[in-house]
Amino acid sequence: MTDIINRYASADLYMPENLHRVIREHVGANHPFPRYIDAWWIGFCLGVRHGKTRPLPAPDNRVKFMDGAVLSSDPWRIIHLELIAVGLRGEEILTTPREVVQLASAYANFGLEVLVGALAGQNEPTLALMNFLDPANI
Amino acid sequence: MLIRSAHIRNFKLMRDVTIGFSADPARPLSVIRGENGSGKTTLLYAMLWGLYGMDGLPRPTNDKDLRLTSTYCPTGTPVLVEVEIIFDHTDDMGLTSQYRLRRMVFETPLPDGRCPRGQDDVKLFLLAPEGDKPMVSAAAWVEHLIPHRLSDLFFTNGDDIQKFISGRVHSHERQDKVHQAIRELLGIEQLTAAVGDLKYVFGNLKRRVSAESGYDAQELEDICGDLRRQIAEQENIRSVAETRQKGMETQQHEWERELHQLRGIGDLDELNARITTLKSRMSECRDREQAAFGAMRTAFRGQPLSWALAGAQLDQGRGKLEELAHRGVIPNNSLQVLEDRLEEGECICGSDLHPGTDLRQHVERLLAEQRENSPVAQRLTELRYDARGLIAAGADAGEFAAIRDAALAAYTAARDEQISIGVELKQAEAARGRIDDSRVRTLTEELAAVGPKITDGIHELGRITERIEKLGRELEENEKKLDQLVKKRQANRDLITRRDVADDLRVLAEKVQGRLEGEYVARVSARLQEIFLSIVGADPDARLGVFRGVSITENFDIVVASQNDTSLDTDYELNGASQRALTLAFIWSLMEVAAITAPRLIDTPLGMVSGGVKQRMVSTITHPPTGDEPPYQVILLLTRSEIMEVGDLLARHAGAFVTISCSKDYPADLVYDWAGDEPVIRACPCTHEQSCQICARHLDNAHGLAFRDSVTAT
Repeated sequence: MTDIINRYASADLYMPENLHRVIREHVGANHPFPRYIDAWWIGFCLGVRHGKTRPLPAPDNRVKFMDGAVLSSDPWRIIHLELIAVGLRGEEILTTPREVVQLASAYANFGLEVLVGALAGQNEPTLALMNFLDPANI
Repeated sequence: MLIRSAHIRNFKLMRDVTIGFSADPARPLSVIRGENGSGKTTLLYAMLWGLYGMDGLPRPTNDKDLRLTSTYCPTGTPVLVEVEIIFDHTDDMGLTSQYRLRRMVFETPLPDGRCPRGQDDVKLFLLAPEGDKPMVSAAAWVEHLIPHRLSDLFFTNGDDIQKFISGRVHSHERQDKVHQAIRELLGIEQLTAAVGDLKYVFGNLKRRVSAESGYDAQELEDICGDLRRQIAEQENIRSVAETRQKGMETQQHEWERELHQLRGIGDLDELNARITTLKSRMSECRDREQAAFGAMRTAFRGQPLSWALAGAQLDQGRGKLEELAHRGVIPNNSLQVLEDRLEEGECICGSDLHPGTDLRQHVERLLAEQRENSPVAQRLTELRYDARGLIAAGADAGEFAAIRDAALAAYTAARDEQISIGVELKQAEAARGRIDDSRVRTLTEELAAVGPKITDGIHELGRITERIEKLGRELEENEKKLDQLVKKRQANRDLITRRDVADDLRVLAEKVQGRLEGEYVARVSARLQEIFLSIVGADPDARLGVFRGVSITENFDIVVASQNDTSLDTDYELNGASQRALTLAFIWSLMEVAAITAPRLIDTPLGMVSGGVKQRMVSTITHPPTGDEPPYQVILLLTRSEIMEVGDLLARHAGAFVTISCSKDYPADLVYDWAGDEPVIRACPCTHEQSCQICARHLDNAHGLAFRDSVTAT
């Protein structure tokens, strides 16, 4: 595998404020997600799986949780991000990394809603999430 | 002794009450009817006081002296309390005489609640046609006729009646009570006194024989006397040691039983060990559960989930890259080729590419275009190889499902085991909670301490017995020497003869005493069984019968035998009716065997009895004597509810009916207001089927009683 250049390091990553409020309760040690990016990534995958997007809300209603540099900690995510982007929008999308991040955010916004719904009211969120993430039924 | 009447004055609320009893052997029953609070117990206590004075009454539960008079008596004025009992007594010659026993005392109620009393004045008169003849030692007469020690047999109430059988009374006390009753009533006590007298006479004669046999004999007699004293001393010491030993053994038994009960729940140390193991297993399961959660969290951030969720789109992207490769868009190698051709000035096809040619200008435009798209093409190329690398590294859309299944299975197994361990832990902790830890330790320590003491006690008893035996042997040797000396010196033959006769009589009396006691106990025991089984309606041969028999043991315990050679605990395995039946059967059998003519006054004996048992009990204790049965008298103090079901039986066997009422029950229960300002008890001759202006109660109609005035009129 080549050394992967993160062309998205400067892009800001956001979550809708209402979803961020819930997700932050599930981030950290002994929580389902060690970092926000882990939740965001699942949200992105869920959005892609359902083929649905949600636009990013206005600046007042969104929260920047990290920038794209975080993707470098798991380089496979850059490969997946780009493969999905190319698959969905064609190879031209790679000419504008910002467009790739926007596309991912739109899918993540939808997926995070699904994720928050799965975590709501669960006493043992890790278990609830694992039960929810049944590839055969999701 | 048969009581004919009792006249009671100023005893509690009995201001002036006379009650007649049946002394007719054909109708031995007297029924004293009274509802709760009407004065039945007052009558019982008045009779006991009349016969035994204050000794006859129950001991007060506080420091206060018992009061005989009513609390309504004015303070500061002496009140004469008097009980007069008229009774018949048939002496050993068969002659029946009538006596009047009168006990009176002045009691002065004081404002502070105290009631100082003077000395009892007790007098006994023989009632003769020529006039009453005072008898000396009235109290001794009463004690002879109806000993106070046995008053439990003659006068009792429904609850105290069980003193002879109840385990709530200490076993020694209960056995002593039975033994005492048997010895007193069967005359064995008199024989014991005779044995004592003979021992005394024998001892005197022996000393005299020794004294008249000379100095050496006297010296030997002194040695023997000293040895006897030592033996007596050692026997006393042994008796004390035996009592102490018995106490320790009883205590040990009770502690062992309690400990056994506590440990029956589970051994504490074992439980603690089990709880520790369970907690450790629980902790292990929690670790496994956490590990399963950890595996899940790792899976949430891993590539397999990404493949599982977006595999289709990833494949789509990869397909697009392959298509680009197929089309030759990637990898982008044309840039280098174009640059090389321009540098050489010749195209691949051989055309001139030197500067100034049209073709070179075209190639330069193409090169500029290629250079502009190069980074994207480069990235697409890399991406294609990177994606291939991921696939080669094992990226698989099905991997997450396997990880998920494993993590969930690990979690479920850990959780199920925790639930199972939790149940076991809860049970173990609950069991431990029921064990009084400190009590178990105390009992264990006490038992550990008492064990050696008991062993020491046994050894000590052995040593004492050994000493006694040694002293006995010495005594025997010295007595033999003394005997030989006395004979050698031709001691007074007459004295020796008298001594030997006294000794023979003593031995004979002791043997008779032992035999009588055994025979009498056997007879009482047999009759006790007969009466008891008859009252409870039990067939000892019945296959499913509970009661197989009753007997008095060598230790004077009353034992109820059941199936398979087991015995029943009289407290816990006999119902209230059977307990009463057993005690009444004992009293009746004892009286019969002893052929004692004495009153048996029982307050509320039928409280817990009903149905067939009640019928048979009343029939047994009130029927006229038959065959060899001596005449007797039974006085039952009954409530109306006790009379129910046995009214006809009482009517057949009763020679006297009295109803007692207390004016305090007006107007709540009594119909008529016949008293003044103070509550008093009065008696009327109403039977259980009648009522009058004294005893009429509001509920009489419900019981179908006839108003006696109208009965009389008709």
